[in-house]
Amino acid sequence: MTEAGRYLVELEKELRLDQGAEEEVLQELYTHLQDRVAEFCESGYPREEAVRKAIDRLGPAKSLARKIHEARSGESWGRALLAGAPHFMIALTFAFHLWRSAPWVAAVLIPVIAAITYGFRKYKPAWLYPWLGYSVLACGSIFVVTGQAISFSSPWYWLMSALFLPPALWLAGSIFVQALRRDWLFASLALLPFPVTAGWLLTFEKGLSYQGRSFEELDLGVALSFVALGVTTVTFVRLRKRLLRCGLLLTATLAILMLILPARGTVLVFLAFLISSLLLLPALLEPRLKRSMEPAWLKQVTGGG
Amino acid sequence: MNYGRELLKGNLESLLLYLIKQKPMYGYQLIKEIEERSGGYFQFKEGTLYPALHRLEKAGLIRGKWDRSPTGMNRRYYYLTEKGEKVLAQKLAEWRSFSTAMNLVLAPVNP
Repeated sequence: MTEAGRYLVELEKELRLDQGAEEEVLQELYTHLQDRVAEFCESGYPREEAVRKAIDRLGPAKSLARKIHEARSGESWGRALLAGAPHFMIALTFAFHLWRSAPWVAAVLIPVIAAITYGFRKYKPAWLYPWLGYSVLACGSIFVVTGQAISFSSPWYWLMSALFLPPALWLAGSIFVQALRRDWLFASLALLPFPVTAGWLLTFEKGLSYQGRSFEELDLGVALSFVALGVTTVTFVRLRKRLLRCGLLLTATLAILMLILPARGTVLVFLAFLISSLLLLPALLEPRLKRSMEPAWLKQVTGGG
Repeated sequence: MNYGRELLKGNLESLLLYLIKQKPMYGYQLIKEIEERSGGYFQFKEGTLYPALHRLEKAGLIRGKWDRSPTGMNRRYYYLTEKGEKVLAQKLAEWRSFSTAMNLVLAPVNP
């Protein structure tokens, strides 16, 4: 790989934009390098030195990528609200006790499918990831609800599981990989409803009269927790700095869970550890995926050179 | 800290909007134009140009479009938008008032 190629690879690792925008930025910087190198060569520099000087004029790849990322991230209010929309829809479902209504649940699923289809065609914009999280959650819910409807011990259930589980797991896995390829923070954003949903499931597990209250009475609490998730998501999408985004995801999720589960002392520490592990797990997996995709885009940017 | 560099940093976006208004240009062309017009006074790390261009594009003040340059190569040309024209007019008015005031303050006082 040429020195310019290595520089662009390093840039790409830190750019973390959607596929279309990323290719455009890399191509623009590549043409800039071409112009500068040609100018230095005309002034009498040997090609290798000309390339080195041109790269030096652009500055360190990491810092340039971070500045471009910050310049291009931070979405409009409209897109930020679109990112928070699935959380607000779930909040609405619980606020008005609509979760028993099959037509309403179907009406919620349709925009999820539409948003995902549109988002994938639009180079996976930032607002898409919360929708992706819900599509995985919807797959899991269908599995659990069906199990309850036809009994977990029924052979039909196990037959259905054998048919349903592999494609569902494949879908969940590919969605997770897609998010990781863009930015591990977006994978964490997609995972956001999982700890909160798990928190409520744990609460419901305690029985119909959790702290003397019925499911319907808890609906308001569930709705409020999803409103909080929506607000967190809107803020996340509006923010530009990665560090602030990361801090927001961790603190907001922990705060919401603390309100759901009456956790104190060591339980709280354990909970904080669990949430941090879940939301930071994508950061550990990201480098493996980033490495595997380098040659394809580089070929595209440099035209195979 | 280099005072001249700081001044340029603070006014880079106005300079870019002004030059793009004259004619659509691509990144490298903008750098050469700034250097040439300022007689070599304005020289900055080229890495600061692209984040500034992307910031302006994100704000809807300019629009990037791939076009073929006179040399036959594809380059990303930047065009000024309507919103960009309005912002540029405001920035220029502010700059003129500011520089007039600076000159008045710094002008030698005749006894």
